[in-house]
Amino acid sequence: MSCPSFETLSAYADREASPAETALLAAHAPACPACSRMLALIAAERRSLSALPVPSMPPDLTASLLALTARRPWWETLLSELRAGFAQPTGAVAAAALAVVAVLVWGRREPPPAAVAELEVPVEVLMAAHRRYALSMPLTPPESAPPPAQLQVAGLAAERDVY
Amino acid sequence: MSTELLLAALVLAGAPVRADDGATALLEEALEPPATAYEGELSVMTARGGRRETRHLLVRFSPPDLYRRETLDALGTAELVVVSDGKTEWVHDRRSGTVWQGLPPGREHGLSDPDEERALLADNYAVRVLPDAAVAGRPCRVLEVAPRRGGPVVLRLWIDAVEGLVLQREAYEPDGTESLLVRFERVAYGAKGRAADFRFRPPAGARVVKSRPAPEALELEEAAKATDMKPRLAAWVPPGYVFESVSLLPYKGATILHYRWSDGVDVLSLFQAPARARVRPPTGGRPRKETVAGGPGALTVLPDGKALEWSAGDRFVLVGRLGLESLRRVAESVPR
Repeated sequence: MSCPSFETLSAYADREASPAETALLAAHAPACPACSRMLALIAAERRSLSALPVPSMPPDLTASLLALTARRPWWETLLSELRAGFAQPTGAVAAAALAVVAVLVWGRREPPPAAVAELEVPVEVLMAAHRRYALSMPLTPPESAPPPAQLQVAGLAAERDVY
Repeated sequence: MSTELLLAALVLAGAPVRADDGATALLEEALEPPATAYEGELSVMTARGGRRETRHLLVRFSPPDLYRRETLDALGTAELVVVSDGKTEWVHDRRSGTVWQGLPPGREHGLSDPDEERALLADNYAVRVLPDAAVAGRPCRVLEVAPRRGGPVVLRLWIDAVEGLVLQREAYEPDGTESLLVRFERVAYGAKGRAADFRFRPPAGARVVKSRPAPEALELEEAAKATDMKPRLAAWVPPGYVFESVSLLPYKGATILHYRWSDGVDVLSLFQAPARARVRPPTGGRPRKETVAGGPGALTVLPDGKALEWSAGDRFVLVGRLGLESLRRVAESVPR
């Protein structure tokens, strides 16, 4: 096998190479000084990048974003409309009438039936409980447990977090 | 259970094992925790859902219960570290920067004691000795475990002829395909390691998650008191399987009942969730429509087995490695 491209080596190091590429590289790289050196360089670069400090956000960022997205409550809007309406008497009467109608209509509404919330259980949660039981069998080796990362991929915090 | 008792159980059950071939004693040896310190390198091949994956691990063990396992990534650096000082087990996933802190796994699930489980194993499985072989340069005795009721071999074990450590295990699916191969590529005995190898301190910045304690194994009556649901146990399970216990699986404020059966090697789980529960299929997975007791059901094939789901007032999910027809028969024996 000839040496793969840098992109393929980089994908292999990031575990993003295809299964076929992974198999070929796993067989080729250990015996190839050039590829081994390149993989070591990629690993060193990855370590250096992960050691870089994470840039901090401006302290007022959260407050600014919240202010941008804040919605006025309905009663505040209504009051301001009424206030504006009092400046124009016809508008005030109309706004007051609307408010009275709204209160009457709202008051006559039947309370909504108590909804039973659906409980969504990921099948992985059940599999994790099953697997944990299977691992307690006397002839099951502990090394056969899948890494927690596999469960994170499945959207769970971790197998150990399930129970 | 003593070797003699286990041997007697095998003979009474009509095992095709000669009393003098040492199979039972060898199995006993394989079931005992190692008595010697060791360190080495393991490869673990798993065939899950048709996909084969191989991981490499560095392992270190010191009796009675100290261990360290490091799973290596493609570049040979440890991406997952599992360390136990006998009291606490730490699992450090370096990729996500997460550390799980919990108790070392023990025999926590069943109400049966280890002797009963071994007797169950002896009742359901026959063991025989195969010709000796070498693993990692060590002479090994080889054991084969097969169901007495017939069917393909479920397990082969290569046991160090001197130290008694299992150096290689092969596990097979009910259809005979290989599902797991755990093999020492290198092993050295007597290396006790430094005490620091079995201690762990979470690195700065790691997210530490305290694992929930293992679920308590309950009797059916105890479980009934702990939930609003009426426990409904399958009336039929395949021959050899014995009901071990039920536990409560808390999930988002609800309680799911987890019934468990074992035949000594394999296990079967039945989950009973409230009627409002809906089972979310795995990411990218699509359940297959099946009929269960004349009603709609769904089958999901997962790396560790099959999950058959149906509704019978409450929501039920049956998980195991059995064939579909056996799973369906178990499901249809759950009282409606």
